Amino acid sequence: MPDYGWNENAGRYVNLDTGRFVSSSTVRDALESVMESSAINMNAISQQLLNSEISLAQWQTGMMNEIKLAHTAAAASANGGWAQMTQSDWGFTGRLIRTQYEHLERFANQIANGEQALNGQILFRADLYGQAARGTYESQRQRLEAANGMNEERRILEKDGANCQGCLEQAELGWQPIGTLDPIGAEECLTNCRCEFEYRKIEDGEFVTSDEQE
Amino acid sequence: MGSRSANSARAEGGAVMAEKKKVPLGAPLSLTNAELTDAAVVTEEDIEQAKKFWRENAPEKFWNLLDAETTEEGE
Repeated sequence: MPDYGWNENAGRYVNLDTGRFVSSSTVRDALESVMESSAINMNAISQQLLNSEISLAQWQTGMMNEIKLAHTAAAASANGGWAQMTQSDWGFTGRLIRTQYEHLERFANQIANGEQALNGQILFRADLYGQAARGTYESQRQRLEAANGMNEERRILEKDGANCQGCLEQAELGWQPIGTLDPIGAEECLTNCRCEFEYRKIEDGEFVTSDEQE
Repeated sequence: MGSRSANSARAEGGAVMAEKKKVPLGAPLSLTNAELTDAAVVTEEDIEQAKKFWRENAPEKFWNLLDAETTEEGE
């Protein structure tokens, strides 16, 4: 298992055994495994609700715990690790978590008033919360890239993926000022979105992108 | 007769044992805006739990990725 460092100037992890940068997509792949575990836990909690093994309030509490775990890990992974997270970064993360809690509260109210039946759709909707940490990763990364002077962004579609119309349209826009494209999770595919962002800036008259190698 | 009653009671008891008590759905959490904000704050304890969660669930090669310290290295 290699040791890793964080190069602040580049905004990249470094494999200290090889001295090579670790690509953002590799980091996100690692995060995908963590998110998958979180989604499995959310599914199990939701199944307990469907089986009448736990109450709605217990389900909501369990989901909130899982949401926080996944988003906390996602934020740290985008930001260079635990040691690089500042109070400001945690504050930003807390606001993203709060948004998820608001969505979950609406979901719980829909279950309580019968608008959302106690059926398999609950499992489908719960899974979206498991996937939402991907958006937190990309939002934190955008913040970091902007701080590093990147001023343009473009959406990179999932390779070989079934991209939704909204994502295709966003990708067709190409390079745009940073922070102006729709965030991950805002299109029809919702939090299932597996698009990534690439960033660039002009340095000495040339474009420098956020591309890196392993 | 007594034996049949005992068997019947045991069978009924078994059925009751097998049937778990259903938890009523109940009401959702009722949080004020301030409570919702407080609940979303990432505490030291949350960070420790997330560290553990990452180590338990990330691919082995990346278990210690988030333990990175700053370096000037990298190419």
